[in-house]
Amino acid sequence: MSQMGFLLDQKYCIGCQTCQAACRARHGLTPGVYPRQATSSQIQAKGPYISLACNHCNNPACVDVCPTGAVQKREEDGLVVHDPEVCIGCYSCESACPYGAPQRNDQNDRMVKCDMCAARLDAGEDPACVAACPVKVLTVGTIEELEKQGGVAEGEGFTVEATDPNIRFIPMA
Amino acid sequence: MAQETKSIEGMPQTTPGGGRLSRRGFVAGSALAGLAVGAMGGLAACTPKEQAAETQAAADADSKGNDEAKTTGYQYEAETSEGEWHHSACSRNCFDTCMIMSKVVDGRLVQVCGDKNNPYTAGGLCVKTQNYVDYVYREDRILYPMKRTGTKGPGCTFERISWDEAIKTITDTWKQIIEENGAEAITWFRYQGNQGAIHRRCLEPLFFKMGATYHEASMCNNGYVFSLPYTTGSITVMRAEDIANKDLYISWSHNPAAGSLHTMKFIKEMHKAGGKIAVVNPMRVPECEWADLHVQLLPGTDGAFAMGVAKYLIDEGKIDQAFIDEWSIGYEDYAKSVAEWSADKVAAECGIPAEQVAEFAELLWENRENACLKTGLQLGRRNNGGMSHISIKLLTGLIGHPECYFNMTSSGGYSTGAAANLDMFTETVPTEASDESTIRNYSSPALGKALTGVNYGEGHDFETNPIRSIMIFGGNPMVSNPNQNLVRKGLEREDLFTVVHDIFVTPTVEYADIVLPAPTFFEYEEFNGGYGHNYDCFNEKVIEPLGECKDNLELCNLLGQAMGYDDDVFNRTYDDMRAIFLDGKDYTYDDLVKNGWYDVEPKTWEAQLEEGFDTPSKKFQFASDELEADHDTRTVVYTPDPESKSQAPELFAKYPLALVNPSAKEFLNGVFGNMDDNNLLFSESYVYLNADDAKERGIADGDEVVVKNDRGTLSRIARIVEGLMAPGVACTYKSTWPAMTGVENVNCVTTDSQADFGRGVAFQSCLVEVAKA
Repeated sequence: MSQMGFLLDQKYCIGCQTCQAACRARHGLTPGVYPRQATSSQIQAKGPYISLACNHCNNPACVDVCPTGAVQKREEDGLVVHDPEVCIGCYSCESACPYGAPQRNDQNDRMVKCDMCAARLDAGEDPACVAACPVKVLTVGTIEELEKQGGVAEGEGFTVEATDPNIRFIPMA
Repeated sequence: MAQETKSIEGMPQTTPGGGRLSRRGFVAGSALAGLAVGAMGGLAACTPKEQAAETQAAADADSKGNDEAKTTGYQYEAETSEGEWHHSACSRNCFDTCMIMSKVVDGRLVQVCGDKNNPYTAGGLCVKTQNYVDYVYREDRILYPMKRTGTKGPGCTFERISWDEAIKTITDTWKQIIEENGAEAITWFRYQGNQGAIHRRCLEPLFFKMGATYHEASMCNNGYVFSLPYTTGSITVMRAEDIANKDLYISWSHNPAAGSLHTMKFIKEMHKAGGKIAVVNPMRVPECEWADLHVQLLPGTDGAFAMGVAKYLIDEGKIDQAFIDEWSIGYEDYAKSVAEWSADKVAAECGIPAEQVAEFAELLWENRENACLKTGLQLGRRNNGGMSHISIKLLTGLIGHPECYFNMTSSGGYSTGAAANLDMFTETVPTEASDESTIRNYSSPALGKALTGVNYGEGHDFETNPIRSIMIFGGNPMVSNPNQNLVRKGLEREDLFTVVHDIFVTPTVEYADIVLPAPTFFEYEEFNGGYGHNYDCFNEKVIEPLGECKDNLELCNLLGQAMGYDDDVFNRTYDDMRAIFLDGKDYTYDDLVKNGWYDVEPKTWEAQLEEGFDTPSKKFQFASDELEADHDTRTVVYTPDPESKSQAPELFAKYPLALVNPSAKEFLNGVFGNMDDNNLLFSESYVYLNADDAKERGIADGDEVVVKNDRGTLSRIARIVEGLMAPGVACTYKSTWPAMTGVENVNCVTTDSQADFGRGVAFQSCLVEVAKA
């Protein structure tokens, strides 16, 4: 298995939140439900900025606590995916996730989370957030590739929890 | 934290309230729903199905827990359905004019994304427009003509009427006004809500024919455009993509992180490759994260800083004497004028450390061979804006590299003279050289004066024969125009017959007598040209107009014919419009349809020098007879903004903070103020304050405050971030819709005074006081 992850070049992230809006639009969610959330250049007003979604952890707490098996970690690429047809909307995952990634989808009373746009990846497309990033600072790849590009495990405002997240950061310096 | 959403852990808690999504945002969301019902009286027509969300919502609940969970990830119809992709172009008034790919399934727009093949858009739309599919099918779309049934303003009610009734009501009223009061009692207002080359102005022949009071559209860049002829005329402009290869990028009064997102990747590339960045801005904009120098000057003092830089370069002999000798006129006048601007004097006027003059000048000189000096649009939107533009431009002649100056590109795709049939307008209206008018006229910022019967000079007497009807299209003056309270007073007049053509019930539509439904740009063919990039863009009609929406061309024909005009211009077809746009282009319609855009090669600097500058002298003009004739000075001078400490001491004593009001990243002039995502991301309506200014007023971060001057009052939340604002400067963003934010739009405090050049706007000349609510 080649574990996939996100890479954020944090020094050059400008806090535009385009990724957050693109993610919401792709999933057709109610505005206000954001599986990806980014800090704003207008609210925070000073960098560094950060953009986070599901980290597709190596030890995903959401998978462990899900009573119906609706959340699965894929064999082939390590993506943590979710099946809303099997989900019962108990939101156990929401409290288990140390990163608060699972969101409540008010359209079907089920959980919704970033699945790295698995369907788009499978079709050879970039995830919606990556495609939309106007500064090209958010990318995806295998963890080996991301580390080869200089990605490290912790960033400004992000620490590694026991779930062992698959996000990397290009260091600020 | 708002209950309706969950925050992702690890996200720094950055807002004063600790929540990243504002409670007010959600309150505002329901306010919009209220507006839609109240305003439309339930007649806003059938709501198209929310298809994008449908697949998810339709998950079969009965099967839960029984099936093996699928690991395919979320599957959405918009992505899985077979459909066709078409080329669209964002018709907003924006540097970036994105080249869009639109997916249509069974006549319905289901997906939009940036064109990956275009180097500028490069696959990504901006934060404002990710929700364009929602935008098209929103419940608050105006889908039918309507007439007013209640009072004007918030709480207005409308009822559906037929197009026949709408056209008859409008043209009968106009005919009666013309008979009783003459055509000058009618006028129009438009801006660039639709920036397309054809539809932006193709309605105007109607008013030329009528002899209506002339509207000079001047809300944007007149300070720049009208200052150009005195220095270089139109000039070679680099490609935005070339910024990536520069050694120095100067961002002067500009914030591309809000207003031109797609250039940020080129600035990033340049910086990664070792290029330097200098920012001149009263506000710490995102580029400052990477900048080598931030000159955080007082608003409106840009001219003084530029003249100080010029003096330093001259004193140090860091000027290109060969260029000056061969290619310029007026250097002596210029050198004399800047001589008084010592670094200490600049420091006192601009409120900056004196050494920043030398630091900036040295950066510019060292990197002169390969620099980009980008000026933003807010620079010109003030009382001394035109002269500020000239003062900065002249630096480029001093260093012998006028080609480094970058305000707008010049693809030319947005030219619209022929679509507006300008030949039909033969009257005289003010120019830089003369105020003479043969027809009554007003420039955009004076809309409030025009509608409230003010006589403000020759050609502008609105007292004697008041305006009795106005048609507003491609504009949202109740959001975008300065001195909004005066505009409101005008639009509230019961004896003013107001027609508004728009997509949504904007704060302006609330004052309409007749509302006409406008299509989005996905619903008609259009051509565009960027002014931040070099591409001519094609916008295909990808879906049929929703409801009974009619575009400007159709509207021009309908109204013109109903007025009884038989000129050809009221019988134009889409084929005519294609021919107008393609005239003189070196590509065909089919080329454009196929590729979606055409790269208009910028003129090279060598070619520019071969033909000389586009000025009367064919030279780069440090000084000129024309400037003297039109503006009483041969070369650049620095005049402080009339609304400043030195020029208006009594006003300053009452209102000692200079308020800047730039674009937020979520909004664009009058557009997107109703969009939920945009409002949620925008969050609270803040006023940003310098820490010392706040302390002096007993204001803490997160406090409710009032921003006030003699023109009006704004409720805001104080936001105080160390280093964000220069001392004595406050900022609040423009473009918000009061029904969504729950607070006043910034234009309640901005001035409708006329800028020094081009009869332009002066939004940024704005003294205020801020106090705890």
